[in-house]
Amino acid sequence: MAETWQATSAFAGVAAPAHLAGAGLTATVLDNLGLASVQARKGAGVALAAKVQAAYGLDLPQHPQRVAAGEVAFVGTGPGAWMAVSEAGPLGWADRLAADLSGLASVNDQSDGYAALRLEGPAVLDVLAKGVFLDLHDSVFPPGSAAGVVIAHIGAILWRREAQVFEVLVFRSYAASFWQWVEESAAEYGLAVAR
Amino acid sequence: MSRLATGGRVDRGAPVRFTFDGKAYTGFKGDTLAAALLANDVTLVGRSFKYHRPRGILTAGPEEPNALVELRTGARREPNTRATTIELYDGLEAASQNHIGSLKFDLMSVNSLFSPLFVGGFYYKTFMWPAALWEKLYEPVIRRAAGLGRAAGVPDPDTYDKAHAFCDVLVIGAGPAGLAAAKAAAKSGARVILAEDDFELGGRLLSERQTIDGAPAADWIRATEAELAACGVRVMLRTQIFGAYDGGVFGAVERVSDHLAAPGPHQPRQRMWKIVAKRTVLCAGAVERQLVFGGNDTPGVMLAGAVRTYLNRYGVAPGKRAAVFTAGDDGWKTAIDLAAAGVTLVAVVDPRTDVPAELVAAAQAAGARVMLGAVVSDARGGQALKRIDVTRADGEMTAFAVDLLAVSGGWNPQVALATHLGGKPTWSDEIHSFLPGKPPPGMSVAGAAAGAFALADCLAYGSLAGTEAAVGLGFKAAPFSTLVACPDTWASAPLWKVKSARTKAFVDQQHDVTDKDVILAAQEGYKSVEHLKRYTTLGMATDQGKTSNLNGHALMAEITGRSMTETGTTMSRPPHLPVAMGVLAGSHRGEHFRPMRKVAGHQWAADNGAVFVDAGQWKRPQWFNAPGETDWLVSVVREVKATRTAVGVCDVSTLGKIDVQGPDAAAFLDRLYINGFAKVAVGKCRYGLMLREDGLAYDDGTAARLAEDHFLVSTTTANAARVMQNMEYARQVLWPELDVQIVSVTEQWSQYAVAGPKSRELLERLFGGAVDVSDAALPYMGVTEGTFAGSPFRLFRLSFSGELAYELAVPARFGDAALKAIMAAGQGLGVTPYGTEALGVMRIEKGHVGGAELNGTTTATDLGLGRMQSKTKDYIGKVLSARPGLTDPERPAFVGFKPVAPGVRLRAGAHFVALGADGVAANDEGYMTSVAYSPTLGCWIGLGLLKRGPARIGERVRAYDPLRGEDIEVEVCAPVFVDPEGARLHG
Repeated sequence: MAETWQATSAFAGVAAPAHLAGAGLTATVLDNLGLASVQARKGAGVALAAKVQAAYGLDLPQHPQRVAAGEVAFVGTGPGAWMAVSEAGPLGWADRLAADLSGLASVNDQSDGYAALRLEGPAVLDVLAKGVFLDLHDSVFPPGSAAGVVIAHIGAILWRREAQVFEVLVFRSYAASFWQWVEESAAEYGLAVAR
Repeated sequence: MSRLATGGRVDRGAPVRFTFDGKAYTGFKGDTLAAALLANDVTLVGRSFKYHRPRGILTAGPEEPNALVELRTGARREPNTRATTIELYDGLEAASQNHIGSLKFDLMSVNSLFSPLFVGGFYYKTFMWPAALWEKLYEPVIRRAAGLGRAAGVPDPDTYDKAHAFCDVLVIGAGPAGLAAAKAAAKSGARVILAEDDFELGGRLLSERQTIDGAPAADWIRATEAELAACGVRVMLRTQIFGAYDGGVFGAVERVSDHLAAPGPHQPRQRMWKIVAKRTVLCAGAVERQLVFGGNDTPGVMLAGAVRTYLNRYGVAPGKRAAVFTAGDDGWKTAIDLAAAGVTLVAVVDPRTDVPAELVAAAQAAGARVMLGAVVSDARGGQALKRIDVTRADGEMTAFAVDLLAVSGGWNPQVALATHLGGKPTWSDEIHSFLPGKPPPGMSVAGAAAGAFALADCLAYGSLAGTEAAVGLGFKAAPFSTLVACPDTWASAPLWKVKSARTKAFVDQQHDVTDKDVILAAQEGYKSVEHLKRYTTLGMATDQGKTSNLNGHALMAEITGRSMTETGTTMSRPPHLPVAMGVLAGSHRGEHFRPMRKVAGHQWAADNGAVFVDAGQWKRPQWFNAPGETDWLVSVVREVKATRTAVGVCDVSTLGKIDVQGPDAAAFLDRLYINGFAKVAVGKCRYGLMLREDGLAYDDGTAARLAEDHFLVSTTTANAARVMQNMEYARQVLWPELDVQIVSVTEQWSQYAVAGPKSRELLERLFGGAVDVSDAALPYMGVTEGTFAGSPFRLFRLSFSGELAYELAVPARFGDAALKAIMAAGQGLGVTPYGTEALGVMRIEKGHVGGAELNGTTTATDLGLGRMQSKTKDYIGKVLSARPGLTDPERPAFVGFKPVAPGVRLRAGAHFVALGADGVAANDEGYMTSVAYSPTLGCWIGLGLLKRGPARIGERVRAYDPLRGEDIEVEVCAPVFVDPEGARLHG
């Protein structure tokens, strides 16, 4: 048996440039997020919602919203489609979902398919306004809202956890280009990086 | 110095040093460059576009046609900036433009002597012959002579930013109407954005000596600003709304750092905004018209409203002995303000005879000679105004010595943003100008932009429009009080041209279009205002004719005997004011022009000599430079040989991977592919081809069956997104009855092809017995899944190279580690990484179709895949693939080619003609699609489409390439050059 392979972060090599030091925006690299796409089988919507409620204790959102219970959240990404997020990590997450939702949904591990960042801080709305062509005002996009957006020509899934806390997923291969946008857009407010 | 002792909004305690044409001057904080130049008695600022006539400062705003300068130096040099909008900053450097020699002795002013040559349409009429001289002589000379400023010519050192903003009500313009509208809307509870082009709020109020509620207007501005802040209004200064777009979207440019010598740390120079508003109140104000008389471009002739701006806002007297020439009451205010500032007022000239008595009395009290029913026919003085000739209705002429002539032809509402979506402006006989007409949905227009020029009306209609906008969105109207403004009068008479002019009279000063050019255009049939614009260039360039268009259009109406409603005005399109290309690009320049996609193994490849090629947005290794290699072909030949004789490793992560699940997954694939998938066993892969609806081949790849209800489809890198879209369309629209779910898992998996006779040995070493990779356990076209080294994996027995080969897929976070482990396991086996070039060579050697063959013109049969087409099921493209045109046996079909003379290079794109036939289109029999140097055969080989190709194997044809001047005899052969029996794949 060979030794265990070393996982590489989608944002490997990304760090806060010293010259941008400041607290306007804090970006946290979420390497250990369990992500799985969940798509309802035909006609199984109601049963699926009941199963999710029973297994994870949350109301499966029927709109672009994030509903969380404990370490698990479901984010509505389309009609009959969700991104199921586990903060306990990717290991076994998709398998557990596939087993729990067997016959009700098609499940795919996407933990490696996306690069995930948490963006927060007093300047987070100003930074996001540079990329997101969507009204993120509290009255329109309150905490719990989610959306598929395009940021700097890169498709992204965005949700709001708290007033000044957002999380964003982009396809993993775009991580470097997306980070470049984060860095440029946050530069004037100051940028800190956490892992 | 022309700075007044007191007055103005400039900060006299904050001197600002600047240079113009290398000479040092001083102005004050709050000045524009134009104001500071006038304060320093600099009145000659540039040379005109075509005739190189001396020009000064006509206006005090962005509509300026003449005072265009080069701002800054070096890499930041920016041509054609308007001195009337440049905020003065310490160390500002500006230079006049468009002259050879000095500004005062411009050698190009000789153009003026040849002005009969340069009439409207001269581009089209002159320099027609001989044609050869156009590129070599005429165009460079004209470009040199007719240009304005010079671009920096080196990369812009500054950055540009983009951002989005949303609001309930967008108020455009912060003059009295805009301030009132923003306040009313915000007090009603709406989210308001107030965008103002200037660096101060107030609009025209800053230029006038007006009162509101008995106090100076400045007090009201300050109070309103505080109220807006208290209501949370987002005030965007230095922000120019340049275009209106569908859905309440507006384009805007914020000049973040233009008022500074250089942007601060991490500050962009400019920021482009997309502003989305549910309602818009357009309060863009009005622009004054110039009057068309002889020498009306002489420096010292200035719009009357601009004179008041310089007097009242900047505390600068633009002259010492002044006259006023006005066709309306408003110009008389300038006479009164000039006198109040201590300027000697010589005369007030008005073509009307019925002017309000109090205006006449005020002018006379100031010592001016009042001449009613009279016009200024000519202004004289060349580089600086010295004299005006005034002609009365009876023809009697009087000359006055003056150095400043304030002119006013009336005011034009700024309607452009109300018309960008197709609305037509409507003519008003009351203000002799165009009104906004029907603005786009959600927009209202208030104040001077709507033709309501009086201050009281601006305040009242502004408040009303702001309230209505908020109420229209469901907010409850907040009460607003009526403000008492000082009275003003606005009557005017149309005066489109002074007929008694003796010298050249300019309609459009920026483009040197005279009244005679308009007449000529009419004579030559260019009577539509749009034709007039193109023929004479009236209204083109940076000012877009803001001070001049109406005069030109009215002249055309007069000449053609049409009303102004019939004549109309030219279509206004975004941008309303000039927008720098840099801000449109934002940060997307250089290597960041578009996003890049990098595979997990990118860094390893880069560290190991990879030369990358763009495959869509992906970066893929094209080949790997081994130490000492400088010729790509050497590298590629080495990679192919290593793969065919030992083992090669290729990153195939970029190929599309689409996960298909559900009880109807197999049925779904049966309808997408020409061949059947229902009978593929679990644990097996099958090659498939998809057609477009029109029956032509679309994309190919393999699909692996992972479970009864679970497939993994692979696509080409290029078509991954489109195949996914088509499958979504098929699933959602064509066959919603199927229970099938699809999702892209391309990014989830890193995948590596391990190919070559030693590939099994490599994998055995890698897995160390943990995974059985024997032929019995994993035969050709098999697939297995498992976990190894803490990582899930999928192992496919697929081969694109034609060798014994596998593809190992692991979650992308382990992609880098797996690649390194593969390479380590191959140590001693001659393991060699290979790129897309070697991949391409091996697929040509094996006769696999690629992008050059799947080119949108070929059928399955053309590609030799016709036998895959199922006769027992329906699939996308089946019906139309049976069209007579697609089943014609004469169609060019897929075969291979070898040069008859060894060593000759083949070229893709060469056309096939029969031996002895002429190389003409009539004899065309097809073309070469792909070529490669085959290291295995030691010669160039090709794939191509040849008429009845498969029936002609063994024949010789010519590969004729007139583009490269090549004509090569080739032998038609089977398209599989290496291991035609496929023995290497198995076992």
